[in-house]
Amino acid sequence: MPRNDTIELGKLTDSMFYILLALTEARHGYLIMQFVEELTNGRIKIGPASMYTIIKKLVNAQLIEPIDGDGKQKRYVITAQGRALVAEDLKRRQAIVDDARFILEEEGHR
Amino acid sequence: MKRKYMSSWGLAFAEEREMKKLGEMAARGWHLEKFALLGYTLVEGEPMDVRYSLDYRQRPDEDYFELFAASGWEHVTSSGDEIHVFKGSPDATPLYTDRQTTQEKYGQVERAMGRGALICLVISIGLMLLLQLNWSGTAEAIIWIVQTLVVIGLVFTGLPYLGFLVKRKQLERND
Repeated sequence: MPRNDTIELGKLTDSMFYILLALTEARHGYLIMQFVEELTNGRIKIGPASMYTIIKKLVNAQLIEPIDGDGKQKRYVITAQGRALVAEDLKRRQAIVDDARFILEEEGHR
Repeated sequence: MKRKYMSSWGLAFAEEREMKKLGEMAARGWHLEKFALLGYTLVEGEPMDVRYSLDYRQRPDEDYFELFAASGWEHVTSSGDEIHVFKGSPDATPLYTDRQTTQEKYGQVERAMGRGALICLVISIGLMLLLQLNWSGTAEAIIWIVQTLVVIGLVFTGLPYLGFLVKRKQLERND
């Protein structure tokens, strides 16, 4: 069965990318949703089922880890491995933006 | 309190249609209470403007339901600690917001149904071979009864398996 396991390919989906960014500080699921929504001015919203699925996946891939706390809901924080992957993915995304700028700004000068 | 039965064509085939219908029923004052045999039980109440949505998840933990509740999705009922139905306001963020996780939602039930269907198929073939031997009348009758049950099991896993398979292919084609 063809399975596209994006984490193994080192390419993160937009939702994963934002969740990892949110977890540069320890947060629980709902706080991650709020953080992402505020950061992107509502452009990106993550539903609870997607959130739960992605958290489990990121934990399995050791990109985030649960931390002990007294709170009722489990909180998570990014690991060194997670930070490395975000940095790598940022480069990939930056390259796309650079390519687009190059073409579109050239066009403007013509 | 008055109750009403609403039939189901099977979630593998009619999930979206039936969740929409449940919302329409709620607007008329009939609210989903629980799953029933091949359908749903609705209970009479005040008309409400809600949306229903479901998720497949095997034995989720407490955080799961809390996360849904915090996002405005109230847990209504579950079936076999695997199928969970939620209701939320029409402007709540949908349960699934990206393509990859939506595909995984159906991928996991597709695999479970496929496994079930395969097991039923193997047993069914085994029983057919067994029937080639000489049995007393009662023994043969018993094998036929078991065979009938296994075939029913095959239908109720095989058809959903095909339904989820088609659904996953459609989602992948949109990629």
